[in-house]
Amino acid sequence: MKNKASEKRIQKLLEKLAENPKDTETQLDLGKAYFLSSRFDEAVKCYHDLLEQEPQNASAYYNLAVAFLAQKKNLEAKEALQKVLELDPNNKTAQNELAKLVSFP
Amino acid sequence: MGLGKMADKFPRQFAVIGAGRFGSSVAMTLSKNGCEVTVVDHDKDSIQKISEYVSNAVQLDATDEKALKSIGIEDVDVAIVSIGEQMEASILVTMALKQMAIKMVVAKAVTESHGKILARVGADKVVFPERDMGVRLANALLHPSLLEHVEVSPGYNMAEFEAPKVLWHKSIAESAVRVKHGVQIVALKRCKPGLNKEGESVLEEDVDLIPSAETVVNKGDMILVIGKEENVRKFRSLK
Repeated sequence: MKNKASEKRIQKLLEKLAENPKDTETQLDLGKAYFLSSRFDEAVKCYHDLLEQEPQNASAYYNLAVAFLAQKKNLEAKEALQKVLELDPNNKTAQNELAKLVSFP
Repeated sequence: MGLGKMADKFPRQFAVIGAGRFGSSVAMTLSKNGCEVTVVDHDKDSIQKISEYVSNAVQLDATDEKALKSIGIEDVDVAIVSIGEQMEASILVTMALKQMAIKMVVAKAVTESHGKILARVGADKVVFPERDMGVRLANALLHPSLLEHVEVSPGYNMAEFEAPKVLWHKSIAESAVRVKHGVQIVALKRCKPGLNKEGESVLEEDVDLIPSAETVVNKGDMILVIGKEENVRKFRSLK
């Protein structure tokens, strides 16, 4: 049931994006929708597309980092979190995630 | 007595002597888990910092036995002496606490000989955080997928690591983990994607304790495995 709803939402967002491919807000929403459906590769691609248009979008970098974390791509996640903090140095969530990522174990 | 056995009796009252990084970390974790924790340190700033996290934080010289008694330290179930760097003080305090008949005194040592002296003066448990951390770090560097490794009893280990590829998309029964590999999966941990209040992506941890035989293992799942040391090692090395 939940899967169907997620797929429906993804379809809707894809249609919306087809109408306006430069709509970064929809790109971000689509990335999150893919993420929620565990389609992490597609989420990552979505955030990358968004960042090509808006390289200063800290939220896209943050969501990209979490998608990388879900794929256990810690190095990429770390780079994305560092980018968030370059753009938004006071972002507490990113600060915490980065500290968690580099601390041992 | 091992810490494991002690935990069965649910000690609730703790004293932590020394509010450095190690002591503070112990105190905060105990406090977070609902224990009553008294922290003692001679440094005013350290006491001030820790005071918001624990039930009681007192500035005093821990080598002063009378001062320790005055705050009712004799009533705690467990005292943790975390002033390892000041060897003489840590020995004196450990000795004093044992003389007060505190049931369990755990002391932090910085060297092997320090540890031996602490044991001689009555410490029930001596910990070597730097040495132990060094071992864990080396193990983690040698086996990056290994998160935790504990010797349950001689020859038997428990280890947490990422599920090897041979298990992916199969149930535990299908993989015949116990029969084929001689180990038992006792917990399975996976991260579920979600969104937080701000609408940002989060990974929520979901732990399945004693997963059933029908549980399907997925790529990226972490498993906690118990078995003979050699079996656990072999199983961990599977691709």
